[in-house]
Amino acid sequence: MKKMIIMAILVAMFTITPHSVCAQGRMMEGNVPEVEILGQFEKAAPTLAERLGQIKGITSVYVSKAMMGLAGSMGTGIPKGMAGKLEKIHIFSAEEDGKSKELRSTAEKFMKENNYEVVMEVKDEGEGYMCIRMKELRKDCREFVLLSTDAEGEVSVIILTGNISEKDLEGLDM
Amino acid sequence: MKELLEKYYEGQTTAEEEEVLRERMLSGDVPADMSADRELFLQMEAEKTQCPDAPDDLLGRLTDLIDSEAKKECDQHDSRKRVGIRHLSWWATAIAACAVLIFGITYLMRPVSYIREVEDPKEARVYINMAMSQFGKAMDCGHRQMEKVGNALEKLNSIHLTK
Repeated sequence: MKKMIIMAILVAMFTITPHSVCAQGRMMEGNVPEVEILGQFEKAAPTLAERLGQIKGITSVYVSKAMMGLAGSMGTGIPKGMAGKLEKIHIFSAEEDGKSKELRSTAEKFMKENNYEVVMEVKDEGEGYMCIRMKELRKDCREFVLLSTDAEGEVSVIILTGNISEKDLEGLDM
Repeated sequence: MKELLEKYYEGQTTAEEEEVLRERMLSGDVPADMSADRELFLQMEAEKTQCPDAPDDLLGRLTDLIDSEAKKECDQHDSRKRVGIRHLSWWATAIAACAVLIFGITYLMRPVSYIREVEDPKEARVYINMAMSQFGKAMDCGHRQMEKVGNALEKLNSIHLTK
């Protein structure tokens, strides 16, 4: 009996991990159905956006699909082929020296640990540093991350999530 | 008489025969060689008369004793059950306390999100355009670098060919 109770407590402790809390975080964004979260505890690891969203003192912005639809009616720079595919956009930026370093190192560490593929990486004296990485989150859902550092040291991380491909990004070529 | 006595010792006499034997033995009308047997019968009779009669209330007292023993046993069982329930309630309290502790710690340790959701379409438009232009710029920069590499390779090839 005692062993069973101890086992039950241990199981409860392992079940209630920060992952489930991160799932709550995603619920706050309102774009992940609750049923999905409850049914996929094993997949509830924090995303890059959630991780970067925990950094205090930086600009952290989230644009939902619904908001993209509303903004789209006013005309945005989203190419036609990509418009319906984008699920969400996250933008993080930091100007302050300490925060920009924290943002960059956190993003790089997360992408390295989670095996993000490097799509493109440019180090240019004039342009600064730019890197696009990609990860397939699930079937028909990819995450493209642009990590850039300009000449003044401002770091920005832009995350595009949706059923988008590298070809769609080619359409953004200026 | 001897035959009856032998039968008695072998345990084959009937109740009537035993009664006859007993009466004859006690009356003293017994041959001399059977005096030892008569002595045995006399002792048996003496013991029988010495045994006191059971008191009238014996049955009632015995019943009371059995009832009180049964009640005692039942009380002990109840007290054991109560101790078991007390143990169980202690465990239930401990589990509840642990659950509250775990939820409390989890709640306090939950990551705080500083992400702001854009709720103004005009503001969203600005951010979307910024994101698209940044990605476009990065792709453009990448292509330019690729072109540079391509040009450099072409030059190398032409130098190699002229040599």
